[in-house]
Amino acid sequence: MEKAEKKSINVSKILSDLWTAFKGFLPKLWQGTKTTVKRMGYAFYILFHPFDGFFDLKNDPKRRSVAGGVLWLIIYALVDLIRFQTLGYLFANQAAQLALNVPVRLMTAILPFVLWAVSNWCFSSLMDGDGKLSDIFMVTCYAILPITICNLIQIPLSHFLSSSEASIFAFIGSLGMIWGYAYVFLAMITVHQYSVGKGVGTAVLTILGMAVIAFVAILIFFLLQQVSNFFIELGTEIIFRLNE
Amino acid sequence: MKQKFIKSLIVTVLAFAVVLGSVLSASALPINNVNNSYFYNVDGVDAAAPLSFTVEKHISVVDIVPNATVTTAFVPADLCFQNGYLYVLDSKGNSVYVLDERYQPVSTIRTLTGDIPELALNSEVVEGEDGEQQEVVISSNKYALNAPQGIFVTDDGTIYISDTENQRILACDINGKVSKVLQAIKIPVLGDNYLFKPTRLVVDNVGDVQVICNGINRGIVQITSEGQFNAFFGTPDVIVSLGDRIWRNFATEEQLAQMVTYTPTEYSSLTIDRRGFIYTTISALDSAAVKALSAKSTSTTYAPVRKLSADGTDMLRRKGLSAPMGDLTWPGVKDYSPKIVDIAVDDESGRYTILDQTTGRFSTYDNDGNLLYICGGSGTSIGTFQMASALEINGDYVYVADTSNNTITVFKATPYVLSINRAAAATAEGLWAESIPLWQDVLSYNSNMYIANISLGNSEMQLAFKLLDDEVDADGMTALEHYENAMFYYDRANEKTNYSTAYVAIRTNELEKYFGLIFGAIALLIVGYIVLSIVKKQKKRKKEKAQKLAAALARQAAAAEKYNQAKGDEN
Repeated sequence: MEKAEKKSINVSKILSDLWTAFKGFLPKLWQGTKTTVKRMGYAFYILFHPFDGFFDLKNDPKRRSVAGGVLWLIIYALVDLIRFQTLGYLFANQAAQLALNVPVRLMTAILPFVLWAVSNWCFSSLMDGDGKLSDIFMVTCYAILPITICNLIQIPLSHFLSSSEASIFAFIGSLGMIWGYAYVFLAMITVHQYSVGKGVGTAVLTILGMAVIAFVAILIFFLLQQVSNFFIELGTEIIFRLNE
Repeated sequence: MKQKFIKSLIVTVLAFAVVLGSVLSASALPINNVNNSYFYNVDGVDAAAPLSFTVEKHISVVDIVPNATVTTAFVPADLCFQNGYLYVLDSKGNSVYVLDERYQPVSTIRTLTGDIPELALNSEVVEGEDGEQQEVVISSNKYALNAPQGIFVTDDGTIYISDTENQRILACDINGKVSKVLQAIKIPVLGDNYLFKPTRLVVDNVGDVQVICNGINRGIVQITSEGQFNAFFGTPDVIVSLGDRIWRNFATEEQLAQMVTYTPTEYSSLTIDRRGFIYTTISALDSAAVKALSAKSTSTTYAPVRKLSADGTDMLRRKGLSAPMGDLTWPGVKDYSPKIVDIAVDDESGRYTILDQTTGRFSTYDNDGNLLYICGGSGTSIGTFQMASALEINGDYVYVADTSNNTITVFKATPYVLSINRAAAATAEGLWAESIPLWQDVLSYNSNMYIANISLGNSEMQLAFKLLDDEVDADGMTALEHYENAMFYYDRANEKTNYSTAYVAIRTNELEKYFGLIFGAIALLIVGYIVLSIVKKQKKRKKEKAQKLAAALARQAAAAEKYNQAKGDEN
């Protein structure tokens, strides 16, 4: 009887504490979201002023927003997913649409840029670049906005165009790609204060590094799988023997 | 005691049930084995399809030769159907059987009569044991056939026989009375030692004989009706890979001698259609051809089936998802290559059937090259073959000769195939509106039949093309509605190019309909923008004016004040 009472008091206290903390957190979250979204709008300025834009994004504390970068990357992945699934009949691959795996699709959209940021950070510290990992990641995420925009334009267009006008559709797609990847490169050299030549060298090394990281990651994954399988089998064997 | 009785009763009943069940299931088995029917769907994957043919009759030597036993020599090397008779060429018994519609022999040609010249070559030079060349007389009778390999019957009933080992081509009537003998044919480029051994043959409208010969890889041999060699026809292309072509330039004589020689492949069979086009098949495909076919290439270079025009160019339409080649894949065989041994054409519709010896299956294509249906199979039961060698079609019937079982199987089309043939015929004749219910009938049998959907779409498009704007056809449909139907069918068949054409027609109409609205909206936007900017400018000007005025007034006021002040000072 006594015990039960004590327990109930504890629960209510924990709940009220949590509520107070949450109440304090809520406006902060709201304020943070508001500033992040406001700062994200700077990506549209960068669209036509890449050099100033990326420099200010990194160095101006009023403009810098890593959370904004994360959101831009998530938006990119979502738009990629929506585009894939809602493309018009003439431009879509129906068989692939039926075989859609949402997590895999999102991961394949996001992972290359995360990998790029990590790999680039590894090499930039060797090639005395100025950027931190958070800087590189943020500017990369801001730089892929053209791809997101062009992908968005492609969706209504694909419902309107016919097969003979497919070149327009393809042009917009490749425009977004070239624009976006060129900005990823520009963002990188701006952040590290590199010359173009050094930037190209670092980019090549970064791509090689991405391959190495991916290889090592897969290797570790399979090794861990083997190890875990070994212990699971060991456990099954022991349980089997004990039961015998 | 009682328990034991019940036990034995149960055992008896169970045993009885097992026996009865096995008897029943045995009787439920189909008589023929053509039950695993399939079709290649729009993705090139085999999908179940309704049965396309049933075996109507299985003809062996016992059925057509009186007093024959199963051991009687009989190998049906070639078949020909003409004027209601099925002509069977027996290369072992050296005879021709003419069968009527009930597959009873009307006539049997065993001995030839008439004025027959002596055999051109009844002796052969061979190398004896002691190395000397000896002349060996081939014991042959000019009044008999010797291992004949090909038969063709013209419209007027003249039977042309390739008397292969006697090295001659005969023309005779149904009683064996010879009217023409083509022999001692000299082909200049091949030299004097060449042995003329004709196999499959056709005779064109002019009376020229087109014949495939053993050991000739220069195409079909054209022989005039007078027995003169005319030309080689439709020589298959030689395919040499680029790497080999470069390498050959640097190779020495010895190396060249050791390398594989590239020779054109020989044709395996041929047939002729009403309009004089010659269809040929190639059974021995090289690895490049196999690779190209596995990749579903529709190039003419690697084609196992060809349709040759008078000048020898390939006219076969390959509009299907793959070139006509029989089966696209075969379970357990990588880079499966077909061995097409015979072809037959339906004169009415231009649809043709090819026979694949490795799988024992025969596939039918329409004259655009779309695969329509497949039947047959490899095996020893009725309806399957061990070595299918010759094929002939007669409307809804297909005859296949097997040279290992030594039988002829008569296949009759099922209602499913009849529905396809009807619909395809309507489409071929351009009866668009009439073909729509026929193709829908096909779809009711087999919804995987993408050709039905494509044809339906094409028919709807044709109907739409005929209509003007706002015009309504007999079914009360406008062009737009036809286009929408066409889009529906093309969508089903995943036919995007034609879908796009129909879509553009609809889109143009919509744009025309809303052109005024869209143009008006754009014009309104422009006008609005101009008006707004003018208003803004005027407002700005007014503001400036007001400011100027205010400034002037202020200046005036200041001046007045100054003046007053000065005056006051004076005062």
